[in-house]
Amino acid sequence: MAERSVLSIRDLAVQFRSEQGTVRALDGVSFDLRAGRTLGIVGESGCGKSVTARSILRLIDWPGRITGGQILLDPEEPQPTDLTALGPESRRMREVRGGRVGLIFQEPMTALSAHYTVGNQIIEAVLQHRDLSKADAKAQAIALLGEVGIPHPQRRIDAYPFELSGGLRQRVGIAMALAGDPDILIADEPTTALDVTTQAQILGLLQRLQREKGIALMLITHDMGVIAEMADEVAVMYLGRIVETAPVARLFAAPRHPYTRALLRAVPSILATPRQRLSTIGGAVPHPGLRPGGCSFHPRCAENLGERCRREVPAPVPLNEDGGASCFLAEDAA
Amino acid sequence: MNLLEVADLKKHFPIRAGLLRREVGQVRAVDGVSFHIAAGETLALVGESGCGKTTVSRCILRAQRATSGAIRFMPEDGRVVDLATIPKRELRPLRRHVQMIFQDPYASLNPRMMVGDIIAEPLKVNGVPAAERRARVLELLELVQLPASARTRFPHAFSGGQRQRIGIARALALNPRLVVADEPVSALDVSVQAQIINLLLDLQDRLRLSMLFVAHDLSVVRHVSDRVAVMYVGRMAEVAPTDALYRSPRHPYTEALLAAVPAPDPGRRGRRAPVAGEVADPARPPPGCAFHPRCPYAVDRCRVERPELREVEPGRWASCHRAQELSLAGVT
Amino acid sequence: MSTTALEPAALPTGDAAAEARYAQATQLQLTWWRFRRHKLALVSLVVVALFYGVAAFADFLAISDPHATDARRSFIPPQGIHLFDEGGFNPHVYGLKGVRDPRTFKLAYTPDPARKLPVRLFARGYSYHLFGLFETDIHLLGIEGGGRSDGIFLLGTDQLGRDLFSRMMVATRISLFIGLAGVTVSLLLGVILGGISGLYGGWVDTLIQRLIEVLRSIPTIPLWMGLAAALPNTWSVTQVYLAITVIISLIGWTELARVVRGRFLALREEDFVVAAELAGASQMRIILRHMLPSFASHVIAAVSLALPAMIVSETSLSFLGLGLRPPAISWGILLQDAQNIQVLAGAPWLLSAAVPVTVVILAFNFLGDGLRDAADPYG
Repeated sequence: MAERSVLSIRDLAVQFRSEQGTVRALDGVSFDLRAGRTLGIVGESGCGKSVTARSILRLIDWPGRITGGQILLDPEEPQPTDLTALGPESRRMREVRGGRVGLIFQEPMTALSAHYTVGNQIIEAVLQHRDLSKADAKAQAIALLGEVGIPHPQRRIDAYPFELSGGLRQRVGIAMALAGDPDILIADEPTTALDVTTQAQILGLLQRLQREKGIALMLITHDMGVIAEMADEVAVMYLGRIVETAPVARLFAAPRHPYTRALLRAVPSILATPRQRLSTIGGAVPHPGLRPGGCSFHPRCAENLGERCRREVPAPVPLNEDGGASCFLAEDAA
Repeated sequence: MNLLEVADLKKHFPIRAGLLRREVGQVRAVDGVSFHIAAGETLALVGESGCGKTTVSRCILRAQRATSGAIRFMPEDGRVVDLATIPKRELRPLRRHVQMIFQDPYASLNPRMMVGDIIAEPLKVNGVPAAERRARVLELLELVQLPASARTRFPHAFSGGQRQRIGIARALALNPRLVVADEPVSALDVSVQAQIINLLLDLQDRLRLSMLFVAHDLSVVRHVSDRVAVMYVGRMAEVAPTDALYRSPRHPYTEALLAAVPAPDPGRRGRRAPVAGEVADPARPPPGCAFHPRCPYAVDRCRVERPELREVEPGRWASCHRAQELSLAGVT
Repeated sequence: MSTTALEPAALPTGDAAAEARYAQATQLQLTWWRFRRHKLALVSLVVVALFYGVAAFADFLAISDPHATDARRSFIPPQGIHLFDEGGFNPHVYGLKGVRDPRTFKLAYTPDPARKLPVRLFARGYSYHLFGLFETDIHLLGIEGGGRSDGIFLLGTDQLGRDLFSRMMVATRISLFIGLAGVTVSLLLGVILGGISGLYGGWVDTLIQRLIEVLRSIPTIPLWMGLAAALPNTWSVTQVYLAITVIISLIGWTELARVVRGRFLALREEDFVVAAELAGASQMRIILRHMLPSFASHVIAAVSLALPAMIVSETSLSFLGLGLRPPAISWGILLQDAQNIQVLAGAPWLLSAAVPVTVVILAFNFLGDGLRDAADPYG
């Protein structure tokens, strides 16, 4: 169970500044990514799941900035690297980006340029991280395209991104992310823009790659189905905090945070009975700039304890294997 | 007769090329689609991108003109019009009977109008007097569970889910016979999505609403629809009552589609093998059955002969040569 | 973060009153709230307003008759107003004294500290029509007593002895209003032709678009030169003024037409417009109620960016001697006086007419940018 941890996030805080005050996009987020395992991060809009991904890669743009915490690469080595201490454009950070941590986007077109062939872009990504001759890099690119299941890679390497279907583009996006042979892969809603049969193919591909390469995968999604299908461990986020972590089976069988419970009951299911109603969560996710005091979920929480939830912030989730919930109810039960 | 009967609907878009914009081919976005909607019934039109479901709904709303085929609609009892061919002048008074719920709750409300005016607009342009309009707006706000004070506020004050409620109130203002809902919950957060699904279920019960529910999310569809029509590359693959379709699909594409949906249950993991290949290009559909290159059950006949949609058992239609002999897996 | 639709800055701060205020704010208010945060644009708005204030009260602000020549006060350098005298507040200027240059024997007029002329507010001077209606001779500043040639010369005088400050005030009026008039004509042409183009599409659209392309492909300076040269010499200042306006707007409308057409095409596809159509709303109602208000703000922004171009056009035309001609006064004409390098070496203050041109154009550009950013609280 205790695979090597390759990336440890500790108390990460990210703030966005605006004239109306600071928006705390992330507020004390901690988790570990382990080799060969998939951490699913799930949450609704504004929960900070994408900000987390971007801060690991140091891609947070002004007016946002990391205001606290650590992002430790190789935390079990004697001298781990703290990515928050590196300059976003430093040489070391550029090596990490792509070389250690690959990123897969929701819409691969954002990672691909429309003006260059797929091959050009992958070859360039390969050369950035490896000292190869041009010919070797091309062979490597073709191998990568084959690896991600693109038919006729020798031919497709000369295609432009717009000539490819959404599914093939996402495969190219994955090949790009793999070009630097990273051992950590961050996939930010990798299948949200895809059709359901294509989604199934891409998820299968990610699983296969992870198995073959022992990659630590951080999968960001809003889809509980994708989580159930893919994740080993799950972190549920709400308004910039992790409210619950758990092994996937336990999360679905016995969720400990009221938000997780409510969310799971609100998800439409392909197994529903005809005209089956869903339980709902009242209200809507507030703007991250208007985070309620105390436990930020309390105004929507059906189980809230009143005064205490309004005033006090529950302790963050424990960092052990079994996870837990950041909720007074869970604390009291323990 | 049913409220709506679509018969052999076709919509072809020309592909033009060259300096003279000569037509060099056609995209058969919709290529002979037939289905019906009975009064009080919700039919879901599902399929992957490019299958033609949006084009079908646009033809019904006459946002696009069908190339051929009939869209027989019953605006009031005993009267039937063909929405595919009716002249524009006669169409306008009929518009009130077919209304739409949009996908994007941000784009579908005019940011410069107060919510009360937005909901009242269909009433106003159809000549409902001001006092009556006011009462009806309040009634509609209550129906979609928004406070009466929403009337004097602008859309920017509302969240995505609340805006979708406003859009629904507007669509219902004229008591339309048919509501076309185009992916009405796909832009919403999970927790809000559930609220809107429940609201639609409520409205179906209370108003005996007839609805064409265009969606790609098979989970949502299972909650809200009475029957499901599955489209693939411009043609109808299967039409069946919802529960029957999910339990025992009769078309291999339906089976593949159902298998691809990840269920929110880690215990079901690994049960499915994703269908191979990509959705065919509607500009160059494969010969025979468009699904045959991806179909694990395809036989020689499927490669040459195009299967027609036929009734495989009472109330169930499928366009598959082997519909009778295959036993396909559903989800239960 | 970018997925959230609300601007954090446009958010209510929590209390119910503020929230209700926000909820009931019209688009105009939202736009204003957003615009207000754009400090540079806000300052520019003030600057532009001041300029138009000057234009409206040009004669009132002018000190001496901008057309009155006086050989004796040719090329007087800028003079400050002395505020204190003998320990008390007593604003005054010096009178002029003729001094004969001992070498050239030319008589030059220079300020004479011995003669102090008190400066008064709301003094009487040359008579003019305020807003072209009320005849009056009250001016903001004036001197008491003094001879015919004495006066306040804040920016000095030109070769013919005309007070540059007064001329600048009057020039501001003509230069700014020619821009405004030009934009109005362009706006009409642009909205009508752009609207037709976007609304009907088809061959009408193609025709108008080709016309725009042809107009835009003609190099502007030669076109103006040609058109301006075609103006009859016998025309009065007013007629030339109008003609120049029309010439300038003939080019200016194309950009606005493009903006309008683009917005029309984009809006036709907007869901809320489709919704109105499905409700059975008439074409007229859709245009007036849904489409026009939605792009009015874009048009305003486009106008505020088109205005400086108009002003520069007038200035360059007049500077080249192709636009307005003396006795009309515009910034271009003032700068025309500064064409001669020898004159300029002796009287560099003549270049000061370039300052308002630069300032107003920068202000308009910042204002336009601010308006454009604020115009679409959702974009």
